[in-house]
Order: sequence, then C-alpha cells, then structure tokens
Amino acid sequence: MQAIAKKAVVVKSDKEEIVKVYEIGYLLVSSIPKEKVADITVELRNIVTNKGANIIAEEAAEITQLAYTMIKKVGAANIRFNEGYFGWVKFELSGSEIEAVKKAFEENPNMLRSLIITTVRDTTYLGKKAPAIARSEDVVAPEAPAVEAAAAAPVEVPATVEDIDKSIDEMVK
Amino acid sequence: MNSAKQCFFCQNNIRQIDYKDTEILKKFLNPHGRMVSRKKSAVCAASQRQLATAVKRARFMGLLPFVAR
Repeated sequence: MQAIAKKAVVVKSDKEEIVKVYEIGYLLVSSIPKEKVADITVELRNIVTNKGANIIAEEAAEITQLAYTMIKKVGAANIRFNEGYFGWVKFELSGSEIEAVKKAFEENPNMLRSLIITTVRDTTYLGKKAPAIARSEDVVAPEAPAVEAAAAAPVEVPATVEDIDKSIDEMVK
Repeated sequence: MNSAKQCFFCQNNIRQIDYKDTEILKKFLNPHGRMVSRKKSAVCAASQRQLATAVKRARFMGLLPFVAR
C-alpha cells in the first residue's frame, strides 16, 4: 500500500518538473490613465518572474480598438468597453506554477480578459511583417461575377417588321 | 497545365499560426467574419486546424469579430 503511494508521489514530482513555454495575452481596461499602463505592465511581468519564469519575449500593452463591445462586471454595474490595452508575455515555466499565474492575472482589477496558451520557443508572431505577407497574394480566388457570364451569352436582337416580311417572302419563293 | 494552388502558410513558411497576426487571419474570413473553407482557400489540413484555433483565440481577445455586418 505504502509502495503504491510512494510511486504516485514520484510520478507527481516528475510532472511538476516539466517546463513548458507559455504565452499570456492580456487586455487591460481602457479607463486606466496612459501613464499608469507601463507600471501595470511591469506589475504583471513581476507576477510571472516571481514564480521563477524565464521571459522569452514580450510586448508592452498598447491601446487597441476591440472588434466587439466587452462587458466587465464591477460590483453591481456592467461597464462596457470598446477599447483596451493589449499586451503579451512569452515565458518558460513549470506546469505546476501556471495555475497560480492564471489566478493572479484574473484577480487583477484592471484586467478585462487574459488568455494563457502553450506555444513554442521560436518566434511565431510576425508583427509588422504580417501585413506585407497578407498583401502579397489573394488567398481566396474571386468568384466570377454574374455580369460577365451574362455578357458572354449571345444577345438576341428583336426582329423588325421588315426582317419578318423578308423571311416570309423567302419562304414563299 | 495543372495549376494546383498551394497552402498559403506552407508557401510563406509559417509553421505556427499566431492569434495576434490578425492581418493574416483576416484573409481567411469572409465579410461576415466566418472562416473560409479549405476548398476555397486551398489551405492544407494541418494549417486549417491551426488557423481555426488562432481565429477562435483572436475572437476571444477582441482582435477579431465573432460576427460582422
């Protein structure tokens, strides 16, 4: 019985030692003043580093227009946001610590949303290169417009009275 | 004669699709904000799966819309 319990503990400790590459993307509320954003970003970075994480890459929070209105519940009120400060941090951390980091991020009063993903060490974010690559070629082939198809079809001209008379004469002959 | 289209991500050597690259993700959305099918975009199966995950993450973070128009 004891041996089984001991084995289970060993397995658990093995799991804890697994170091993974994580990335946290966060969206801060737009109501915070511009001067304070840098301080809050450092504060969030410290949450990660205090857990013993090794920072690989990061981007400071910048104001971005949101694609849809987000609602944050503050007390009894629902506050709507159309803008937010979006930033991200990529780091290496053991699997056992990530839950604590997630909780700390979610508990931050300025946090609108946060997303933790597992990723790779290499740079995946193209950043400023992305628009150039996106412009380089059309991905979806444009469908042939209906107007062109109509233009290709032979157009029938209505017959005049003279044409009809001529054709009747030819038939009589 | 056979002008087979290649996967956009394989052509540009993009191994990992990042949810933050919204300019690229937008190319694979129709005007309503829905994902374009593989049949139209010619994206390989592996990239299409990654693309779907990236689009969903970008939508959650408010970088892309769930619905447009």
